[in-house]
Amino acid sequence: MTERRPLGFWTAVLCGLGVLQLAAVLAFAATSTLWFQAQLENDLLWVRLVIGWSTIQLSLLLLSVGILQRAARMPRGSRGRARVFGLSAVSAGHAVITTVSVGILLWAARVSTGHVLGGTVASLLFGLTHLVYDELDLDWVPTLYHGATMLQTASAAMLLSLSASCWFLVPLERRQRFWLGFDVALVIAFVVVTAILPLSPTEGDDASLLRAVIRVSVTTVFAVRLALRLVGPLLAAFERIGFRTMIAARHLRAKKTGFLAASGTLSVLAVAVSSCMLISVLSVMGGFRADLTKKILGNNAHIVIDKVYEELSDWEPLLERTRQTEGVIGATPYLQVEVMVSSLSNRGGAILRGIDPDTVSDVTDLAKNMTHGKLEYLKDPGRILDSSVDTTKSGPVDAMMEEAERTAARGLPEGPEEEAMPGLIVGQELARALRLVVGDRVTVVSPRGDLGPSGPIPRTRPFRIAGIFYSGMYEYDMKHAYIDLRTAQRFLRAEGRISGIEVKVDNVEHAPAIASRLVSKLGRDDLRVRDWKQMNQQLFGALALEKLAMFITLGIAILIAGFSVFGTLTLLVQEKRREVGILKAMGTPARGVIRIFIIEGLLIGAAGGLMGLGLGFVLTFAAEHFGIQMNPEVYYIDKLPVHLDPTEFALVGASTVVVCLAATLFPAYQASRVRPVDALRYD
Amino acid sequence: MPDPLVTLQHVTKTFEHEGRPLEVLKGIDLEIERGEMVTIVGPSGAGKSTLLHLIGTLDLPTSGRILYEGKDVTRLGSSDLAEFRNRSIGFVFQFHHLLPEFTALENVMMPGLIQGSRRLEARARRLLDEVGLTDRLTHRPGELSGGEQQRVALARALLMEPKLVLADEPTGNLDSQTSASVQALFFDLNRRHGITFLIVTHSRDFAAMMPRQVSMKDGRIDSDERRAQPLENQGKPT
Ligand SMILES: Nc1ncnc2c1ncn2[C@@H]1O[C@H](COP(=O)(O)OP(=O)(O)O)[C@@H](O)[C@H]1O
Ligand SMILES: [Mg+2]
Repeated sequence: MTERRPLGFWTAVLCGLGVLQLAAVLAFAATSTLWFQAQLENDLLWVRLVIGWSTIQLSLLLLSVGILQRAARMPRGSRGRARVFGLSAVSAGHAVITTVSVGILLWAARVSTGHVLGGTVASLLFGLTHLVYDELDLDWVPTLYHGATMLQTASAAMLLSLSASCWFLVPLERRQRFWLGFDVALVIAFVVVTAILPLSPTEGDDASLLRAVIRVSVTTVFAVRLALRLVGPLLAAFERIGFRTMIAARHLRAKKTGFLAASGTLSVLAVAVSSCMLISVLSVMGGFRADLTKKILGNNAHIVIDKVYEELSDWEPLLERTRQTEGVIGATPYLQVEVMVSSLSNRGGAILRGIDPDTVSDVTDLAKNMTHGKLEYLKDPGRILDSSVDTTKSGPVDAMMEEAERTAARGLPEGPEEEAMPGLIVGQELARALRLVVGDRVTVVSPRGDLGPSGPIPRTRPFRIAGIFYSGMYEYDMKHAYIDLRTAQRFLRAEGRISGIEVKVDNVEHAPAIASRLVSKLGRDDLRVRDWKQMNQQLFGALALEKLAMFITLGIAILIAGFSVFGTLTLLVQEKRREVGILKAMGTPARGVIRIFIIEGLLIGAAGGLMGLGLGFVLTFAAEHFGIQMNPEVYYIDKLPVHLDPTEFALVGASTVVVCLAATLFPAYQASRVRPVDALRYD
Repeated sequence: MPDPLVTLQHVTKTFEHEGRPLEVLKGIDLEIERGEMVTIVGPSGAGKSTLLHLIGTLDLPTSGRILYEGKDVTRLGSSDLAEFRNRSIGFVFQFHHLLPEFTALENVMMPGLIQGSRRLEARARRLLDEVGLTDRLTHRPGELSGGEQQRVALARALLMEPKLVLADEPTGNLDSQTSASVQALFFDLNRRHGITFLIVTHSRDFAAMMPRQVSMKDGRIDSDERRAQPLENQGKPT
């Protein structure tokens, strides 16, 4: 018995050190990629790292061996002996393995300067950064390293779970004191970080990102501890509501048999994980939708007025009346046709739009999206060549090649209409495909040709690249090209005619209403007026369908979590049979019993749901504010878009509650069927 | 003359055991008057507990009627029965059957809480005081001795001022000293509050103290004796 207390204490220290060590490994793995690249040459840091790391490992090893000895002296069969044995053995092994793997890593980083370090999710969780050994000829090093990493992952997992179970060997009073100290420190930390650290990082600043991450982490831990501290008082308050809540809350607070406790914990976790997953995925999908909507609204008009098969002539009065309609903040005419654009090196199809450079900015973001050149050059193409100095913003290699091509192009004899050559604005992707920079010549081929002796001859015209835009939508960047409206009308033989009018409204959600207002105001039923939702119906429909499919798929995960709630409740009912019998003998009606167990199931579900939604909130919040990098070459988006929608949180919460409610019905009904006589039978 | 408190008419109970019917009660007729102290004795397996369950409406008879003050309770619906049990009957079992998660006071208040009434706390305290547990109010059943638990159960049975208290071997698990004090409590409550008690017991001494003794054998009532002068005072602890 005298052995027990010091053992408990040192075990706690070991647990703490083990967790600390894991945290160090995690931090190391998370930062090593960045850090190594920056600090590889810094000898002082190097020495510090080696000393610091060895100190942790050595103390862990010594402590483990010491505790192992003590555990060996414990009388056989005393409480927790096996656990302590296991913990100290595993942590001793873990210290050795970690020393080996980190040693290899450090050594490899030292001898080879050309290596690349990169982390995977799994290595972030438990192991270490993986080594890609370009220049190491020694085959056994990576083999040993990977072996050590795998062993380390396993031992880390064991260490964590053993620590968790050994923690309960520490006397309750000590544990409470620990948590008190922890919580006090946490409150102070929370107040401090809230006061001095930013919530959102400034763009492109790693240090401020780190500060924001620290603030969010501390706030999260604080919220978790606060919630845990509140569970007791909340249940107590809940008990005071009424008889049924009182019984339910007591059942949940009571100490349970091991299996039921495990099952209960598991079902809370299952509900938490599934609802967290659902809300995170929905938020990301919502983010994609919001991103897409933003891009669509930025690149397109909110309302388009056109005719189904013809072009509009005599459109100026229409434009005027459109502009005077309530809710409309901008309107611009356009003429559109599909063409072929060819440069010296390539050719591609495009949608050619004649626009009015003066008013197009009232409606779309084209002017804002220009990365090279200027929208005004459309009106005044003479300025293109004067200012083409600032056009080579791309990488050095590209620029060299483009320069060479351009010189080649300039070398070509140019026609007499050189000065009058009109400007053309193309998207970034088209520019890349055709290897174009501002000032280059292209030829546009229009299908609306002249009638020659053997049928229509396509009409061609040279243009000069006046600008390049980046809209963020591949479709646009690859397919759209803009020229001046008058040029377009002449080139396309549509003098005085336009394809339609693009309209911008003050509130995009009111677009349908404004569209119908326009219909009645213009009073011409040969006109077609469509709002952005109608025009992108298929796209948004597909997105909505996809989201629904995701909701159902992940909803099934919640359903499975519901099964575990069902299992827990069935067990609980089994365990409380006798008490149900007593309650019924004392006059609790069957529906009262049903309600008691429904409340219990709902409490389990609510605990899980709140945990899941909280975790989901933290994850999505972090993703939204800190930004998860994505490869723009692949996804055409540079940051994972996330959109937190309160309705979706409510919806996921509601579905969780509904599923848990459904899971409780049958066990609760079973409980209500317990006959007091059977439950009270003495044997 | 008013109806007796409880009237049993030709009550039988048959259980199904491995497909064969097992007749446990073979036609019981019994009347219990208000304020009576009745004991049921008989060998194990005679059907005493079964009879008590039927009277307590925890189970329904296979045939026959059970009347409370002339009203047939075997025809009530389950929630009416629950309500009836809550208000009119108090149970004390051999294994007390307290709720382990609740304190002594909460256990005593439980029948009132079922009704949604919280005003019975003062009464619950008084009852616990009466059974001598003033300083055990916040103890849980696990922290009480057997006799204390049984006294909590008795206080709980009395909370709703029931007309009838049913006790199934209430002293079966207690040592003689403790049983004597619990028994004395029964008599005391009967005398002061006029509560009707129906007590199954194996204790000869206890049975001998009771004014009316019904003895059962093999599912029938063997004898039903009333004593003019119960030997009550002999059982009182000194
Ligand atoms: N649910 C049941 N199913 C089958 N037999 C039962 C059941 N309940 C009681 N019995 C039988 O009824 C008989 C009487 O039981 P009980 O009333 O408990 O006797 P006592 O309390 O007089 O000792 C016993 O033989 C018992 O086996
Ligand atoms: Mg019995």
